[in-house]
Amino acid sequence: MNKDSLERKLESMPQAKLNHEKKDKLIQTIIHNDDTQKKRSNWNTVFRWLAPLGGTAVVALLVWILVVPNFDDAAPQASLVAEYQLADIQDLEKFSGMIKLPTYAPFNVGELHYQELFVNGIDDIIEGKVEFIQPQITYFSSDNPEQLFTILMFSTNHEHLYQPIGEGEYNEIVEFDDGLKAEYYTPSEEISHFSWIEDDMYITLTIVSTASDPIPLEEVIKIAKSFELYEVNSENYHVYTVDNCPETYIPCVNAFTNSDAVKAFNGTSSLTREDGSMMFGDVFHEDIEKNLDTLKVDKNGAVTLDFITMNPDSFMVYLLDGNERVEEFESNQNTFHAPNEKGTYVYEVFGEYNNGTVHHYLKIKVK
Amino acid sequence: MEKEKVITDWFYQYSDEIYNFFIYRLGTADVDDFVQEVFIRAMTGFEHFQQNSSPKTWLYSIAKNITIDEIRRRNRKKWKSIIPFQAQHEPKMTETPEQLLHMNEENKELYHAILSLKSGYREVLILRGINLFTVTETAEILGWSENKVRSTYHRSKKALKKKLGGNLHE
Repeated sequence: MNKDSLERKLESMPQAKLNHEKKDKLIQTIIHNDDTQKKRSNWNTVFRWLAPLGGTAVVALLVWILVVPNFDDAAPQASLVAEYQLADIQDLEKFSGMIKLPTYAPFNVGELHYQELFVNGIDDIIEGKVEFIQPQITYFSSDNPEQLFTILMFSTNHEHLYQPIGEGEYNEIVEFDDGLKAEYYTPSEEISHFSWIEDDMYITLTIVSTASDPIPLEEVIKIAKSFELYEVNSENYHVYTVDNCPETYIPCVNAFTNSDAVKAFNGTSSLTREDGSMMFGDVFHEDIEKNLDTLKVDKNGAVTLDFITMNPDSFMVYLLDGNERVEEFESNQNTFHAPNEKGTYVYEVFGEYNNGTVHHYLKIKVK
Repeated sequence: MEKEKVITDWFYQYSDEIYNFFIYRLGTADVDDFVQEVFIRAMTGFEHFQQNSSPKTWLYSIAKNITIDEIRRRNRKKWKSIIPFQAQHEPKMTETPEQLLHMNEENKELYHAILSLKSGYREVLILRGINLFTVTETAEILGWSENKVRSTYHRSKKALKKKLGGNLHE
């Protein structure tokens, strides 16, 4: 495969070398297991002594290790559609506090696609100023690959980019949400455009669906009415990331829906650390129930698992009734569907990893 | 003795590469202790090394875990005072990575753009782009699927190009 110029540049980045004297010193330290290792191993030693003992002390310690990272934060404040996936789009962060995004989608959203269009010419592209960039986000249905909607927006300062509402192409003018007016244009059975001006932003919502299963205007209006300010606030975001996962040998898993995300709780585990020592842990069922964050989901809504630090070799999802596994779920590409009836449900995700096994737990509330 | 000999061989063979991995991944020149830590962990966990796998990717996966530990430590500074091992990782030298690597202006710009990216992007760019690991090796080191490596590498290059704006000279 041909390498692009960026790849060639990366390849030619300078490299440093440890000098011989330093290397000799380091290898001596490594071989002779000097003070550095002894200091470091204080914590490991504690675990090595305790792990084989079994019993309450180990359970309590493990509960502390595995539980603390799970409930150190309050429930997430996710409200925008696919907020979990939005948080992964680093380029969008520069629009924090400047743009609005939907809090409603007519389908379960899976993948998001983000791209930036530029308002003017090459100078603006090079300058990369936010006011010259048009963010475009596409929300794909997780259930039907032919359903999606795209949002494109830009400041009304760029008058050459749009025509006032009522002067463009449209089938009808729709009044919605406290006097806002939008052009609704359906060039084909599969595609519709809904454009309006709100808070000095020109917003176009493009909906794509199949002719046999169209998304009606009422649903389009519902999306448009649901727009809320997009704000990045990492303080309020309470899921695992590569950087906050508590220990590298413990698998961290998040679960997310269209509008919510939580950490999965790590229960009974048997894991090997990098240094070869084993960690065994058990938790009481009451502790699991007590410490689970609740994931809000619509009836039959999609719940997606996101494995943060390591991918399992295999995993199974079970619906629990107390300690009993009452139903086994087929999981397609990390996604399974919530029940059709309102209520609170607890699931077990049994993951097999290359360094052991973990029973993760998840509580969902079907609205 | 056999173990010591193998680790010593690996150290002389791979320590420079791992040294550079830390400089690029952590954005600091003071990474000797991290290199040392990789081989200490390798020594301790040697029995668990699968003989049919590559020592290089195994050592890098240990290095990757150490960077995660370090980033987490930076995020949780309040723990610093009660974990003696971590206290020694406070910067001890004043030389910057740019000086250590004798970077020209263009390299500096690229280096800082890489450092400004999120963790996953940075890891895959360094491993695939700078260290020239294959997709399979990168997947093994990061514990990801090969597809995830491919898509994340693609996205990270895109993000890096954006960071660099028009400053990516041919």
